[in-house]
Amino acid sequence: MDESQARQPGELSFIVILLIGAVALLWEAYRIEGFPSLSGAGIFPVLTAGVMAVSLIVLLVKETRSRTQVQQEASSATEGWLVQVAPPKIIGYMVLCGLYVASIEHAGFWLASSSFLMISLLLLYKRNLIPVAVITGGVVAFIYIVFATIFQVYLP
Amino acid sequence: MEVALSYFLMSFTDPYLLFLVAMGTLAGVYVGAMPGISVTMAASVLISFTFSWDVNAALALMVGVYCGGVYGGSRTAILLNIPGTPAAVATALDGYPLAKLGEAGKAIGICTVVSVIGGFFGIIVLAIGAPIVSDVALLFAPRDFLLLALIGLLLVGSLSEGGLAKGIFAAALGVVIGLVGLDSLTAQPRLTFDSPSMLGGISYVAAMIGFFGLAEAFYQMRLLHVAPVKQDVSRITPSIATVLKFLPLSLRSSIIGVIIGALPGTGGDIAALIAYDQAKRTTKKPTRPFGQGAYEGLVAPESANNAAVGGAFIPMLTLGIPGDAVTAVIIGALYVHGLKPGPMLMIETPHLFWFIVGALVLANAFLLPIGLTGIKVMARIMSVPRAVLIPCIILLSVVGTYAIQNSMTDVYWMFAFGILGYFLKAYNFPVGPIILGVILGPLMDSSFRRAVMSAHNDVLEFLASFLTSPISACLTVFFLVLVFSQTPLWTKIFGRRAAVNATAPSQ
Repeated sequence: MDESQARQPGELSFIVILLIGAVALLWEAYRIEGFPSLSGAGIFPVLTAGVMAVSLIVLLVKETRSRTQVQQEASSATEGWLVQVAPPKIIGYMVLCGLYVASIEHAGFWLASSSFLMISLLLLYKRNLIPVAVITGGVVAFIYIVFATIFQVYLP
Repeated sequence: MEVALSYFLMSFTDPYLLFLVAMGTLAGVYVGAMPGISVTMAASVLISFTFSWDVNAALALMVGVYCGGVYGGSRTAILLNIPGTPAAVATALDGYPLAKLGEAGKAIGICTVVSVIGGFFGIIVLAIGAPIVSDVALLFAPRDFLLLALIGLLLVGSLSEGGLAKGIFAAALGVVIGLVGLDSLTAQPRLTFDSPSMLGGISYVAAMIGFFGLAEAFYQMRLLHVAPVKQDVSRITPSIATVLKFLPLSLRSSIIGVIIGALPGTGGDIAALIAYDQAKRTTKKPTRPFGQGAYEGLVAPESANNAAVGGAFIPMLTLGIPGDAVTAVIIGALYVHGLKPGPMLMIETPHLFWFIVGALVLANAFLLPIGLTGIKVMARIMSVPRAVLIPCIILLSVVGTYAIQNSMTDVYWMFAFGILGYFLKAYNFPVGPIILGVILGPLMDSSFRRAVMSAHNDVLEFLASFLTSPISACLTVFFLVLVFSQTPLWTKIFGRRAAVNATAPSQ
């Protein structure tokens, strides 16, 4: 089997999730004006959401015919998904980013950003606290000087 | 003419604008050279900071970042075998073998010179071609804009990785994102799920930063362990004889680059691959076999992808249709500045066109000194670990998104698009068509409905209108050929013919 015919672990489920989203969009597009007139506000959203759904159905049919390609180090599809598509390290970091974005309004931009940078560097860069604190201080100072002072950008 | 010249020279004579073009080019080269930061990502993050600026200053920076970024991508392609930008994918094919042979310095030198040659070629074509295309574009009916946008999306969808179905899905997703909010013709809410916060639509810059900045940052986490390789990069200025030797190939590749760049939806990445293929087929005696360190394999893609910059500006400025993902970002910025790229731009604000041409010339001129010097600084910047770079990109993405309209909602959208973008990339869905779709969606929607209205809402009259004017007929035929080329029948006919041709010489 050549590689183009193989699918990644979890690809089918991902396409199904996208398809559910596309159908929801199609329904929302239909709600604009019911069955849309040819030059109405609803015609293009219906057509586009329809194209999304059809392309996903085509993909779904194509992918169900192919076999999941799991790397040798993974013993099952779930393990393959965790190795090839969504390693726990990346998912964990996404959660950290989510917490950072959610905390900006409550903790303020500077505190949230400094904490996020420090934790990120400790987790990814894996150095002692001193170099991490120096880099964090440098980046935050750079943002303050360049964006807040020179470019006069409003910060969250 | 005098006014045009004064705007052309504006960035040369105004020290502030001169500084911004230089800084933009410098930032573009260095950012483009950092593995993991694409020029689209750099442009989308950087331009968000310029929304409060004067339009000329913002354009000067953007043009510099674009030119510098396309060139900068070749550095990592040669030194690390990691193309800094998609446009440098073809460069890595022979660039990295050259670095392994210890000729990285010479390769970078030649790359710089041919990039500048290609860049200037593209700008000349832009200066001559855009006013002509703009005059023709005034004759375009709404259906022609619809066809052009469809051609652009189909081209970018079919040529991108992952196959046609994934490309079409990505383009349609972008169009849907672009359609959210109040309808521009009837003010009806569309795709808002009854949420008042969605009535104003989704900021396309938030979508761009999410899909190109955050998603890419997450994706780069897979490569945290890849360590930079140190190469010998002394003596990089090539001799005049070397430049003259490669000049004909450089010019040939530039022609390909500018044509591909000028097609809606296709940019430097595709131009570079086609030019590489052309060089491989037409060069009889390469310096080394292709793929093993042939200088011709470096000259062709680098000339083409820089020439494509000038080419990509043609549909962007004259038709309002992006030539590639970066010009889609620049169009987004122009909208924010209250400008409307399209046929009327050359009539209402011709000075803007000549200002952009002038800034492009200047940015290209800056490429030479920036590219041929500062190697040690470049080597240090390139060795910044991804573990430090990734959190910084995320922080800048948040700051840049918030700066658009001081809204945390935009930041939440950006974050959501970042997560979605990561999984799309992981499953080999192309991200470029999404951004083109976001920009082209509203244009396609209004063009389609205007075309239907001008056909009195009659389906037959509407379909017949595609064949009544010569422009529409040409575009319709081109579109249908493109659609046909994606069918199995096309592969059956032309695949067999190509196979026959390939075996003919050996018989």
